[in-house]
Amino acid sequence: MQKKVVVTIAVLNEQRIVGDILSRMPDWVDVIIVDDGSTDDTAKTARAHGATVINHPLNLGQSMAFVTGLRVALMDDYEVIIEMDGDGQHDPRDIPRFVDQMRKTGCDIVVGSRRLGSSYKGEPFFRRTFLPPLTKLLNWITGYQLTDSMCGYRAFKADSLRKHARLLQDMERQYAAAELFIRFSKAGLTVTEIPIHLKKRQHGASYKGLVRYGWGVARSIVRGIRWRKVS
Amino acid sequence: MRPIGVLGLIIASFGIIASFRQYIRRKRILGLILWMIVWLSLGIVSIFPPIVYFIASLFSMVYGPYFIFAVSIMGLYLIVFLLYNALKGLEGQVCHLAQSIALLEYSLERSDQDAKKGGRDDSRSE
Repeated sequence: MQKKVVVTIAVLNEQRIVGDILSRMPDWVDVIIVDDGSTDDTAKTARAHGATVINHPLNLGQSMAFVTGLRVALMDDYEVIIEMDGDGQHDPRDIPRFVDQMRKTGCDIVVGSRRLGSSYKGEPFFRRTFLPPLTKLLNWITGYQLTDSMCGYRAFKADSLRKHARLLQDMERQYAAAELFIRFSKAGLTVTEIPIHLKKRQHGASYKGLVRYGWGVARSIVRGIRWRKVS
Repeated sequence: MRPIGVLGLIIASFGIIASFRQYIRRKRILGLILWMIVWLSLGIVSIFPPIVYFIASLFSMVYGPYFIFAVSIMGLYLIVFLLYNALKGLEGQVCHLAQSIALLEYSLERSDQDAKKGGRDDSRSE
């Protein structure tokens, strides 16, 4: 019988953690792993744990991988599509709360908020300092009342994405969260939040540097505003 | 004519012929016009070098070669800018192509699995 919930995870060289994430997934969800050009055995490990694996032939960027995962998920009759990071910072035990919140509120998108919840000790300075004003800026542009706009732990109502498929076309390749919210607000999609706890990364290092991240987000906002004017 | 003028004329001739051949293949009129200006200028300066001083004086420049340097540098900036835009466009296309390949591979894999499953179900029902 077709499951109602699917989790999509974009990964890049997360061989050491992907197995652990998949083993903690509830058995009532399907999992799609989008391997964004890994050079290790991430895809093999994910397949061994029963996940559906999509391979990008080269590294295209986190947001491109996210869109690939969404497109694959939309090929089937899922009700809810959940996006989470593949670095072990998001807890699969929060998945039922995303689904419950969506069903309770009827919102199109449920975002995990580290501000409403908590984050690990030693969270990077730039994230603590720059994300709140960035979120305020996005709220001003979109009209949403978010507390954490950059969290990659999100749930989407599949039907809403099917109705607005063009929202996913031609996005920023790496840091599209800001652009995504601007597009969603233009399409009239509703957003709510739930508190989540962010864990510290156990293996490897983030590919997001301060300058690259800041520049990527700025570009994403400009692209979102331009898209809004044109569409 | 000096040897350098002859060399310039030969290069200009090759450039003109190559530009026309490119135009016949690709039908890009703007490219043809731009490169014809470059090759014809090179040809004219090769045949009549003093003309550079005359043209430089029209732009209030005393020394002819300075004018050539200035125009060449500006032309190079333009070419680099055009190349940069072309590369950015190609990068976007490569990304979409790679994503399409990934989705196509997944669809094919799924079709294979569905076909195998269908075959197994048929043999069971028999």
